[in-house]
Amino acid sequence: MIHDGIPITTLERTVSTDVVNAQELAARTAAEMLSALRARSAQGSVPASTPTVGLRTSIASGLMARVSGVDLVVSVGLLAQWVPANPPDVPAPGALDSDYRFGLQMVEETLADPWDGTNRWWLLEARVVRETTLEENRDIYNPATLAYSLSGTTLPKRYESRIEYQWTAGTSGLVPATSANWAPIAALFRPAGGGALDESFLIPLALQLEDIVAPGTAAGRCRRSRYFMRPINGLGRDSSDFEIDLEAEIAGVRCHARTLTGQTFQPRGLVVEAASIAALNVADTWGYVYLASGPDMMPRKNHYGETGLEVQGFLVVSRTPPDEHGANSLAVTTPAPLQYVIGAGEAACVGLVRSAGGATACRFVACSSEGEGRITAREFVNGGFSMLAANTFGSAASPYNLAAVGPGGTEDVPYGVILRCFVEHTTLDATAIAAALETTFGMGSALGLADDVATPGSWPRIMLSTDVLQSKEFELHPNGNLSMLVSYVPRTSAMANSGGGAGDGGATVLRAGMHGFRF
Amino acid sequence: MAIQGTVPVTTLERVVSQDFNRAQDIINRSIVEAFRVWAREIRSGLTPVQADVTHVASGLTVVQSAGTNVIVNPGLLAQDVAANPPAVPTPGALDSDYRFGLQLSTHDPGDPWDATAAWWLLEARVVRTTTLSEARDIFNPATETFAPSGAPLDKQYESQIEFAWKKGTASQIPSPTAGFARIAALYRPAPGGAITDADIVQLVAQVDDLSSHVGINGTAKRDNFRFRVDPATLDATFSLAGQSDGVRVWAHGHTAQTLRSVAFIDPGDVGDIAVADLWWYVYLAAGNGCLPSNLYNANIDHRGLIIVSRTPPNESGTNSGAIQSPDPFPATIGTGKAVHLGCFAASGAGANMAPIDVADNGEGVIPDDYAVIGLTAANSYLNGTPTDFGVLGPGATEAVPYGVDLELEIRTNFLDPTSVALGMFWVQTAVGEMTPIVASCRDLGLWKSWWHKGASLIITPTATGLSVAMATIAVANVANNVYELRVCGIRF
Repeated sequence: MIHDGIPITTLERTVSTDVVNAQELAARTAAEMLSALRARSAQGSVPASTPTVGLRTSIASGLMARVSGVDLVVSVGLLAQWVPANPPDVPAPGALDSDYRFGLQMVEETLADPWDGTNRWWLLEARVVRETTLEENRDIYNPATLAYSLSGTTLPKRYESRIEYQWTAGTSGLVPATSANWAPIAALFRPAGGGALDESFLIPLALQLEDIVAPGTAAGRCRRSRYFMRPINGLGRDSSDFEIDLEAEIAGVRCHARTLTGQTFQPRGLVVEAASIAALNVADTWGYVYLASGPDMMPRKNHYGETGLEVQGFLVVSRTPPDEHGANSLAVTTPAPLQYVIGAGEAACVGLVRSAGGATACRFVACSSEGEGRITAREFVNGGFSMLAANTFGSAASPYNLAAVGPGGTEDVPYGVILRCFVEHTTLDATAIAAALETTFGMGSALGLADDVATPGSWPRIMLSTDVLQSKEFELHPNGNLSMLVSYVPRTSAMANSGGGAGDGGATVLRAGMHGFRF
Repeated sequence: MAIQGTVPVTTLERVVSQDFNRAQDIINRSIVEAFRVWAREIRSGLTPVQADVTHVASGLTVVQSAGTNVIVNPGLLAQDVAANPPAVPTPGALDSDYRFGLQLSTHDPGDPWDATAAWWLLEARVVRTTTLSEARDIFNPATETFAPSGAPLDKQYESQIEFAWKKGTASQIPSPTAGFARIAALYRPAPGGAITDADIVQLVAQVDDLSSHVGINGTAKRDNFRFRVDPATLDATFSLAGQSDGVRVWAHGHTAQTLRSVAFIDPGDVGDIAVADLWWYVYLAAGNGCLPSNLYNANIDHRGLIIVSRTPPNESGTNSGAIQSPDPFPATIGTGKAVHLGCFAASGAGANMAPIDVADNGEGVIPDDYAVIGLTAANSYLNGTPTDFGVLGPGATEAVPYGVDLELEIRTNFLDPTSVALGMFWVQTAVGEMTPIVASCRDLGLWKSWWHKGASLIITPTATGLSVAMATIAVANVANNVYELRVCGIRF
């Protein structure tokens, strides 16, 4: 016997505690193995200074709720919990018990309709309980009489770790918070008029084992594997409706959102963070599309009323920009009916929208599944470049601020992406012979500091004939965090008889803008 | 009767002690073997290799407690080690030979301080512990009665974890004792004093550090490349993640770090640390069976070793030669066992690095012109002189890094109004070859001699020779050195 056990010597009289203890040791081993493999992975990052061992509070395998006639049924499955003891249903762990526990549900559970004659969201919660599933009279040995006699009252003869459910009432607008030591399983909306249960108002919520990604996720780190997002009105046109297919891993779980075949959804519709609605109603404001899970929760279908949308997790559009690791730089709050605060670094940025004003419309922003994106050309500056020198690259222009979030910010570009930009002629200057353009850029420090362009990067120079309209594409790599500032100085130089102003290409013949991006 | 392994007992059958023991063994075997699948490592290749990870844990992180000692958090340690009687007995016929031990409450291994400055290794192994002994009645077939056993009998075995401190030196963490797993390391100075979390290095590999299915040759996977050397501070911020040799490794710098430092640099390369304009390669690696974290400073979250080396990567993105981590964890990382996730160039003789910015999809820019190379032009498409971009070793020009695709710009440096026109093409040659490989030529078109013009090129350094050469040829009567060639970007 190499592992936990109760050894019994040959011919030994086995006593009752041997059997009980042996069962407890085996159950403890199984429960600890489950927690070691899955629940404990939440702490796998082992942070730098004070490592902590954390377990996911609640996690399930199965237990999906669905409508069955006038009732709700929950499929077979397993619920594992790491919660304090909850006597008498979940007794305090004994000396040989694990304090981690899981309950099995081997047949579908039927639950009654919670309807109470009011408009209301209901939360279906569950917890692991120990149930006595067999009681019998048994012979009990009497040492005084040296005889066995019936116990008289029935004795518990079988305990099974099972799952107990309860409904918790919310409001007409919000799903209630989960009760302490209970796990969220599903949310159901029931109108005041009652009527048949509607699958479209039933949201599975339980976090499933397969939602968990194997590696511990470092602070703020996320992996984004799919970005497809396309407005249905086509290239260059404003649109309210999009087709999407988004996927990411964040905070140790994987999430996705996609429109069903032939269906569309409005990113500036029901998924906008409440605090961002007003700002996004202003035209030409950037919004960031995030995927995230909730606290021990993974909503698994459309919970916003967008009928063409399938979601695993939360889909949120917010004004909060991503940090340089692609996660939300500040906390964001999911829209009703599941209003949860997603902490900074716990949502993955997987898309962009740019408001066209009003409640729903977006400028053209399309992104392929590989993260290559296009937008309606966005002009940064037109004619703001100085061309003062002849035959020499150099400029008296100041770095141009491409982005500043907040009141008064120009916000020409979004954060969290590589910017695909262009410089082009706007007018011809027939008197000049030729001109060349060199785009330089700084990075890393605050806008406008001389250091930004003291040792600038540069993109290959382009020849701009003064009798042919030309443009050049280049990329900028913003730092991607909230202090991101991108500056560049377009340097122009006439190749011949240049002295500045008209005849040298002038000061107003060039403009720069953005027309694409890469995640 | 359960479907899995069991001992069936018929109604009214007299159960004997062996039934009970076997039933427990079979249940335990099922559980332990179910766990083993998570630690089983399959390496693909002509002859697939199957092995179990020798030591893996879930939990068992170590923290200081009130500054006076350390405690080990609850967790599980699984081991695939030879039998170690009596603490870990030889597996019986119904046992699994894989084993794990549980620690259900925190453990205090004490402060090992012995008034000398030293690193201490906290190591552990799975042991079978007898947690209950009792006298029991034993049946005597001759007398047909039960009689007390006299001596107490083992009545409860529990698979637990045994810890031990092993002393190293003032600068190095010691290697583990055979059969033991490395859990953590603690530095204690000679005067003693309070223990802080910064003194503790986590070492044990966690279940969720393991990655699936790896190649026999240690193929790496690179998941995240964010790496930036700020031009203002000339220090690096980074968020790097990859998989190599069957484990996931990552490093995340919360603040800018000076990677050109003995804290990260391969001891074999320290002699080059003050040399300007050399390229350095940033690797992540497991520590030969363990995964250190908190090894550097509180502003770096990491799993695995961060090693900065002059050894370039191979075409698979792993180290082309063995590299070594510096003290206090001097581990030799074999060829192909580390994943390449960043690079930087030395800027001057100090600790600074030249600016570089690589986005998380591996696209990067180098906003610096130190790599500018003057090109010699000749009035012919033939006989162009290749420019050797980089050869490792003393005296090498080493203008470019290895292991990445290079985005280059070639451009006119000044005008030659006396010429009419010129043509340009470039070729890439193999190591040491001065004859252009025609197949890799690219026409850059006609450049008028009174234009300033540039063109972008992508060059993929050869994997085997780690060297690139380039030739440019001008036609028309232009002078030499009218072109510049510079690195402006990289792609992983």
